[in-house]
Amino acid sequence: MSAMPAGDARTAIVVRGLSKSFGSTQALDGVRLELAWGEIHALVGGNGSGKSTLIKILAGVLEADAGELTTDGSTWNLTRHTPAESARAGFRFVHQDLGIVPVLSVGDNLGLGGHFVRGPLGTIRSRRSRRRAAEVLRRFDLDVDPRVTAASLSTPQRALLAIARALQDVDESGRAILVLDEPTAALPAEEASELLRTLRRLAEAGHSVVLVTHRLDEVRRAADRVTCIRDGRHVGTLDAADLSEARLVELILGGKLERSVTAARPADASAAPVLELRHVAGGPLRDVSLTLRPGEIVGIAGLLGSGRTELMEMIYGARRIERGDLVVRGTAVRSPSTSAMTRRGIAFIPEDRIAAGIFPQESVATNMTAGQSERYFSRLWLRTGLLLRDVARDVATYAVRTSSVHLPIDALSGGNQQKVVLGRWLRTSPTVLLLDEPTQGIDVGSRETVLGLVSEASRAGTAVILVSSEFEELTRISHRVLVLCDGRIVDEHPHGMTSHDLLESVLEKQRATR
Amino acid sequence: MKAQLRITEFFERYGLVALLVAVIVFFSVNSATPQFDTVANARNILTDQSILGILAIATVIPLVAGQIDLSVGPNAGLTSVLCAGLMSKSGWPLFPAILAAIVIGLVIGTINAILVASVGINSIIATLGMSSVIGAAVLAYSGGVSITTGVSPGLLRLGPGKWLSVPTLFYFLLGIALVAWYLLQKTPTGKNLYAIGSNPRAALLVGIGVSRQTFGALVLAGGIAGGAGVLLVAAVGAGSPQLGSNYTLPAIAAAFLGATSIQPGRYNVWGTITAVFFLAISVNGLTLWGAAPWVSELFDGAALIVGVGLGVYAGALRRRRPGRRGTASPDEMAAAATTALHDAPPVLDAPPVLDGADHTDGSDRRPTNVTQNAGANRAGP
Ligand SMILES: Nc1ncnc2c1ncn2[C@@H]1O[C@H](COP(=O)(O)OP(=O)(O)OP(=O)(O)O)[C@@H](O)[C@H]1O
Ligand SMILES: [Mg+2]
Repeated sequence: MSAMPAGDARTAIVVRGLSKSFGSTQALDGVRLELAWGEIHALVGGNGSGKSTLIKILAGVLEADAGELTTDGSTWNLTRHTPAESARAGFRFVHQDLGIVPVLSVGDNLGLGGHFVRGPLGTIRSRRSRRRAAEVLRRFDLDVDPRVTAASLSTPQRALLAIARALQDVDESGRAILVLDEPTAALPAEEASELLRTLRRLAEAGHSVVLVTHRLDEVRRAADRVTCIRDGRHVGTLDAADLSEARLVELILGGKLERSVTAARPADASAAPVLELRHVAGGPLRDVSLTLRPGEIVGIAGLLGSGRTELMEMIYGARRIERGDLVVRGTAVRSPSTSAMTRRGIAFIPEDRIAAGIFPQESVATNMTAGQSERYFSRLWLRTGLLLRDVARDVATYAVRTSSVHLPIDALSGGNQQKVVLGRWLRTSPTVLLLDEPTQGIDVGSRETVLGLVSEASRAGTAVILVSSEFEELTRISHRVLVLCDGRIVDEHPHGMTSHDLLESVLEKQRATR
Repeated sequence: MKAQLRITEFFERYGLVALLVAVIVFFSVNSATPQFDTVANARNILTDQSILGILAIATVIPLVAGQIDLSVGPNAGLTSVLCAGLMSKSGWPLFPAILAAIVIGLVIGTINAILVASVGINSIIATLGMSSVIGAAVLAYSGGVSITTGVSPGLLRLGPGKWLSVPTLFYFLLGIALVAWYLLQKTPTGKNLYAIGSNPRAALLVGIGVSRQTFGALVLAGGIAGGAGVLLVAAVGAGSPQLGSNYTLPAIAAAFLGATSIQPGRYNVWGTITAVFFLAISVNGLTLWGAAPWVSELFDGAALIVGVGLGVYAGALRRRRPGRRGTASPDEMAAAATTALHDAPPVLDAPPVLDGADHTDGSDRRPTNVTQNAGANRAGP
C-alpha cells in the first residue's frame, strides 16, 4: 500500500509535477506528494532538499514554476496559488520560522489570522478574546498569561504558541490538512512527545498531518508513511513501519552514515580551569557551580524551563548575574558585557537562530564574519578579498549548501543557516564555546559533521558547554553531563551512559523536585 | 536570462545616477531654460547643496545602525547662529568660534546618544524632541534676528570661494563623504554598524558593543552637523536662526532615496549624494522653467515616499527573484530603525549594568512607555 491509487476515498490531496527554481538553484524538480486522511505523513530530506519550499508553495507564499494540487474534486494550479486558496483547500501551517510577532501579546498572536472574538461591528472583544486565548493555551499546555508579549517567551514556548495558533480550532472545522515544518526542532524531548501525541489524536479524528523533522526516531515513532526528497527530487514514499533507521538515513543521504564521532580522550583534569562558576544565581538559576577545563565538553541536560539557556547567557554576559562569581582563566569577571566576553575568547551560539543568530538579508559572507571584521582590517583598510577567500573555504568546511557566498542568508534553508552561525564561531577557535541546541534543524548527515567539528575543536583545546535536547548527542560527545533542574545542578554523569538512562535520570530528578 | 539579470541589477544600482544625467541633459538642451547650463548656475547648485549633502551624510551614519537623527538640521542651525554670535556679540576670534560650534554639535549628538543608546528612548522621539529644544535655544540666543555683522571676513570669503573653479564648500562635502564612505565601508566599525542595523540582538551576541557603537554614531552625526553649521555661516554670510529646521526633511529624503541606488537596499554615502543632487538639479531646472517655489517641497516629500516605496518594491522583487546580492529594503530598515531598541536595548552592553533588568528573556522589551509603543508601529519617518 505504499503507493495509494489516486482515486482512493482516503486520499486527501495529491500534488503532481511540482517544480521551483531560484535563479540557478533547482529547489524542487517534479516532486509528487500524496496525503491520506487520518494519517501522519513524514516529509524528510537533507538540509536544502526543498521541504520548506514545497510547504511554502502549498501555503501560497511562493509561486511554483509548475505543478498542480488536487483536493477532493478541485484542482488548483500551483503557479498561481494564493494563501486564501490554500486556506480554502483546508491547509493549516506551522512554518519553520514560526511567524510569531514578538511585540504583540501572546493572546494577540493567537488571534492573528481571524481568531479574535469579534463584536457586531467587527471590533475585537478583548475580554472574550483573552478568555478564549487562555483556554487555547491551557489546551496546548502553555503555561503563560495571554497578556505578556510574545518576546518574553522562551524559544520552545514560541514554537508551542505557533503550533497552538495553527491548531486551535481544527476540532470545530471540517477535515483539515495540517502541515508542520520542523515543529519539534526547538522542543525538548518531553514537549516533543506531547506534540506527537496531539498530532496522533488529530490524525485519528480524520485530519491529515504532514510532519517535517530531522529527528529520525520521531519519524519511526509517529509517522504512518514517509515521503523523502533529495536535491529537490522525489525519492520515494514508503510505509514507516517498513523502515529501519539505517534505511531511512540511506534514503535521505543517498548513502550510509558513519556515526564515528565520540567524546575525545578525557580532558586533562589537572589543567587550570578556563571557566569557573561559583554559586551563580539570577533569573531562574538558584545556585550553579561548575568548573570547565580546556578541551573538555560538558553537556547540560534539563527540561523546559530548567534554566539552561539562561545559564549560557549569563556566562556570555548577555544576562545579569545576581549573585555568585564568574571566573574566566583565573580572573573574576564582574558584570561582563558580551563584547568583553568575546574578547576573552568566549563564543555563544544562541538557540533562537532567527531572532538572535542571523543577520537577515545580509550575505552569507557577512553573516559568517559578523563581529570579526577586525581580523581583516590591516593597514587601515578592510581586506574584502581576503575575507571572501576565507569564507569560501569555511563554507566548504562547515558543509554549507549555498550557490554563492553573496546570497542573502535568508535564501538558505534553515539547516544551512544554522551551519553558517556555527561556522562563524568555530572558525575563531574560541577558548570557551557555549552551544545552545547547536544541531537543531540540521539533517542527520550534517549533524555528524557538526559534532565532529565540535569534538575536533575540543581536541584542539576549546572547552565546550553543550546544551541539547538530543540526549543521544549529549551522551555521545560529552565528557560528562550535568543535569540542571529547577535552577540547580542536581546530578553529574560521566561519559558512557546511554541516552535512555540519561532521560530517565532527568525525569526522576524533575519528579523529585516537584 | 543571466544577461537580463545583470541589466536589471545595473539599473537598480545606477538608475538614480542615470536619472540625474537625464535631468541634466534635459534642462541643458531645453531652450526654455537657457540659464540652466551656465557656470554660475552650476556653482550655485554646488554651493547650496554642499551643506545639505553634509547633513544628509550625518543622517546616514546613525541610520545604518538603525537609528534616525531628526535633529541634524536644527543642530547645524544652532551652531551657525552660535558661531556667528560668538564672533559678533562676544568678539571671539574665528578659530575658537569654529571650535565652539563643533563642540556644541558634539554635545547635542552626545545628548541624543545618551537618550537613545543609554536610556533607550526611541530615536525618532528623542531627536524630534531635541529639534524642538534646539529651536527654542536658537530663538533665545538670537532673538530671532540674523547675525550679519562682526562675522570674520575669512569665513565669509569661504562661501563664494573657489578652487580650480569649483566652489570651495563642495570640497568640504567631498572630504566628509570620503571619510564617511571609508568609515562605513572599509573599517570594522562600519561593518558593525550595518550589523546592528540588521539585527541588534544578533549583533550583541556576536560580541559587538551595540550600545557603544550606536552611541558613537549619534555623537558623530552631531559633530558633523556642528561643522556644517560653521559652513552654513560661510554660505549664507550670516548666522540665520530660520535655516536649520529646513534641512530636516531634505536630508532624510536624500538618505532614503539614496538607499535605492549604488548599494541598493542599504543606506550609503554615494547614493545619498546622488540623491541630493538629483533632487536639487530637478528643482533648479523646474524653477528656471517657471515652476512655482513650492516644487522644492513637493520634490523632497515625493522623494521620501518614492525612496521608501521603491525599497518596498525592490524588497518584494528580491524575495521573488533571489540568487543575487540582496540587502534590506529601506522600509525594512526603517522598521528596524524604529524597533531596534525593542529587540535589544543597547543598554545591555553599557559597561556595568546594575539596573536589575532581566536582559535576555525579553521581559524588558515589553512596551512600558509611550516612546516604546511608538517604536512598535512600523511607522517610518
Ligand atoms: N529565497 C531563496 N532564494 C534562493 N534560494 C533559495 C531561496 N529559498 C530557498 N532557496 C534554496 O532552495 C533550496 C531548498 O530550500 P528549502 O528551504 O526548501 O530546504 P529544506 O528542505 O527546507 O531544508 P532544511 O531542512 O534545512 O530546512 C536550498 O538550496 C535553498 O538554498
Ligand atoms: Mg526547511
